[in-house]
Order: sequence, then C-alpha cells, then structure tokens
Amino acid sequence: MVNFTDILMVWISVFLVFCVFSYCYRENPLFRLAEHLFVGLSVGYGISYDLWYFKNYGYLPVVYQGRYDYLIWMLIGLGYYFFFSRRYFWLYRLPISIGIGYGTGMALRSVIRSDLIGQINTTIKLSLIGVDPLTTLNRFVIVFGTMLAVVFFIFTLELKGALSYIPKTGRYIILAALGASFGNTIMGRESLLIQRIQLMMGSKYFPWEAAGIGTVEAGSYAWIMTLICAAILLYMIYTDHVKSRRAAAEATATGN
Amino acid sequence: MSTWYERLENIDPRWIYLLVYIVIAIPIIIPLPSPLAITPYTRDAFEAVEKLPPGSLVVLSFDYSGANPELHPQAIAVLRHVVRRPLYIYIVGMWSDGPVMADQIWKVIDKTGYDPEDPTKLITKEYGKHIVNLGYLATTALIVGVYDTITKMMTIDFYGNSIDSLPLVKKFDGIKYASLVISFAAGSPGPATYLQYWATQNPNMKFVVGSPGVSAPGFMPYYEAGKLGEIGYVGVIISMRGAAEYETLLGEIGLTGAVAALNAQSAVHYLLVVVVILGNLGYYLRKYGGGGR
Repeated sequence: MVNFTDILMVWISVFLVFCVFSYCYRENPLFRLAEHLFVGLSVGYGISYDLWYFKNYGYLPVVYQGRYDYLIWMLIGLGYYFFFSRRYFWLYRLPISIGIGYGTGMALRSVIRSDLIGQINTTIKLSLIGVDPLTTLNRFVIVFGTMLAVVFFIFTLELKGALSYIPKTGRYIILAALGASFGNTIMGRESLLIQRIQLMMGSKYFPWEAAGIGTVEAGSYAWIMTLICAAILLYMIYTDHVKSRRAAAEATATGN
Repeated sequence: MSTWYERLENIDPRWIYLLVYIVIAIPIIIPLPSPLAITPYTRDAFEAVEKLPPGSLVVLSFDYSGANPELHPQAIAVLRHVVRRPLYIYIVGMWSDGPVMADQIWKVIDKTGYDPEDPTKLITKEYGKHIVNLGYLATTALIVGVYDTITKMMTIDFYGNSIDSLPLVKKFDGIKYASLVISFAAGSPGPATYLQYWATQNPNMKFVVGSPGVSAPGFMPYYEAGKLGEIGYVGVIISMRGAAEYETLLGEIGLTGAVAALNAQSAVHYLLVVVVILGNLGYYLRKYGGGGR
C-alpha cells in the first residue's frame, strides 16, 4: 500500500528539481522560490546543528560530567565575538592565534610527511617500466610530468634558447591535467543530471529509500508531477511567445 | 543568408539543454544492458575490503552533503559490502550532513552479513555491536583525538546513545585499531585530512577514497603512492561510474541504480562529443572557409 505522504515527498522533490531546471529556460519566480528555500533551509539546518553540537559537546559535559575545563576553552572561544568591539578587539586575536598556532603546528608535522615526502618517495621509487606499454607511458608521464611541471613554476631564472622548451612542455603537462580534470568534471555533472532525471521519470533504479525520498512504489507516481511541470514550462514558453509577438506588433505600429 | 555552420554557432543553448534531457531520458525510460569494464582503481578498492581478515575494523567517512548523487551510490555499495563481510564498522563524517547520509542508507540497507566473531555464520548486523555511527567530526582536534581514544573525545553517538554504553566502542576505543579507512569525499575537508592526521601515525592503516569526477585526477598521484606502500590510497572509486563498477563487483545489480544510469551517461557523452566537434568545425569553417572575422 502506497503511503500518500511518500508520494507527496516525491512530488515536492520533483517540483523543486523542476524549479531549479527552469533556470535553463530563463530566470523566473519558480527558480527564485527554490533558491530562497535552499538558502533558508541551509542556514536553519546549520544553526540547529551548531546548537545541537554546543548542547552535546559543551553544555552537557560541563553540567552533567563535571568537565569544568571546557569552560576555559568556551571563554576563549567567546573572544571571537570581540571582533565587533573596537575597544576589546585584541581579545578577538586570542582564539585566532591559538587556532593558527595549533593548525600550523599540526600541519607542519603531518602535511610535510603525507603530501611532500611521501609523494617525492613515490616519484623516486616508481619503476619507469610497467607491466604493459600503457602503464609504462603512465609512469613516464608521472615522473617527467612532475619534473617539467615543477620547472614551469621556477620564476627566478629565465630559461633561454633550447632550455625554454622545458617550462613550455611543463605548461602543456599542466594543461593536459586540467583537461583531464575538466573531462571528469563533465562526467560528474552528467551524473548529477542523470540522477535528477531518474527522479523526475520515477525510475525504479533511483535509490528512493536510501536518498530519504519515499519508496520505489511512491516514486512510480513521480511522472504525474513531471507532466504538471512540463505543462507549466509550456505555459511559460507560450506566454513569452505571446509577449514577444505583442511587443513586435507594437514596435511595428510605433514605426508606422 | 547565413551558412549552416553560422547558424550552428548561433544556436540557442536551450535547444542543447533540451537535447541533453531527451538523450538522458530515453535510456532511463528504456533501460538496456550494457557492458561495463572494471577499472583497476575500483577493483583495488573492492579488493582492499575483500582482503581484510575477519574481525577487522573499517572506518567509513561520509564527507559529502545530500546534493551529491555521485558519492551516495558509492556509499550504498561500499556500506553493503562491509556489512556483508565479517567486519566491524565505524561511521564518521567531516561534513555535518555526512552521518545523516549514512543513517539514511543504514535504515534501508540489507543488514545480513557474516559474523566477525564466527565468519562462517550469517547474522543480522546490529547497531552498537557491529556498527556505530560516531557522527560529525567537527574540528581537527576531534579528528586527532578520536584516533587515540574515542571515549575521551566524544560523549554520545549520532543517535544520542552514550558512547560508553556501546559494545563496539568498548572493543575498539580508538580509530587507531582500524585496518581500512574509506572516505567518500565531495571536497575539503576530505581524505587528505585523514592522510595527514591518521596515516602519518599508522603506516599499516590503508585508505580508499570515493571521489567525485572533478577531484579524481588530484587523487591519482596518491593512488600510485598507496600502491607502493607510501602514504596514499590503495583504491579510488570515481563518480557514478565507479559506483556502477563496485555494484557489479559486489554482484548486487540494482542496489544503487548506478549501473542503470550508465547507458544514459554513455549517450550524453556521445552527444557532447558530437556537439564539441560540430562547434569546432563551425569555428574553423568560418575562420578558414571565407567567412573569417
């Protein structure tokens, strides 16, 4: 038995997806409705989550577990609000300096190992000859590509003559990496679009329950709202067409 | 009278949007089976879970928000896989929405799997005993702290249960006991944070990343590093395609819907290639075919 609430959830989802997609046609009140709803929900969600977090990780440990040491850090944290005071602005610097000091210390200890030494080790250890020609090509691209791309960012010494080809090749390597990233971005955006269209079509392959939008049975009613949305879009197109014809007729009349 | 390529260059982009919509909708309405080659990145990620000895602890980090259909199918497939295997599971999230996403999946997923205590026995996995959602890791201090001792850093889990009362937390009171960390990462903070704060402390801990398409090239050097035993990832699941591959390897087709979406993805790829070729053709014909500006 399909629950009407589930169907309603599906219809609301489909309608909001349509509101966002309608921007592809033109800016319109439906798009703004979805936009404002999203902003409002995000801010409300963020605030409620922060309050929940404060309750469970600040208030409850202090009141019920006797963690009075937390009060010291809470007081220091309150220093952030002195950003708004000219007289006590210096207090704002206290949490900032602790945060920066802690963050820099942690990063220096770990980032150098994970992002620098580990990666240099890999580039050195990587055998250029792989199990097949394509792997070998990949390895050459990684090892020489790394070196050439790094040379591109040497700005203190101008490489002239034949040497000027080294940073130039490095630039091509960087552009190829950006191309790969852009191609992957397109694939990612397509994935977003495909799943939204699965939702609008009421596809049984859409993960209705795992996405928290009703059930597969309720999803099979999505097409009804999709048809209503299509009718709204056609109406928008029709009214625009009528308006443009009227404007053209008025322009002709004024010209005469 | 304008030439065909001039008309093509000046086409209203809304026609292209409509064409893209139609090209995606047709394979969704008429689903057809399509061959799917498994990439080594996904296979390595799958193998990383498959090779874990029974009783191992796996950490799944949900570092994305609700608006990410690339990562949600990956997370469904991987969570099902780790539930099926005789493993213990911690769920965390560096994005506030992440643990909510995990909760949505946990509520509906098939919880049948092999018992970590007795890997020959099929059981229904229980919350608190086999899996715990630790919730949102809001700060670096928390990420660093839970590595060593969870009970010192957290008071409650995602559902508000007292951390001390959960049998799994009593068994593994720290992320340091984990053999594998899998992060589904839409951006920053993401798996790089775990590499910095967890991998640097424990070289035996393995990492897998579930990546959206846009971030995948950035993870590749770390994947090469991980394969060589350096700090990096031993597997990378890329976008919806990666989810489809994982679903296929898992042998539970239809679990995430990703396999069914691949025909639509191929169709729209072909369309985009044709549109890019036509656009460039029009540009060069105008430039060199007598109509240059």
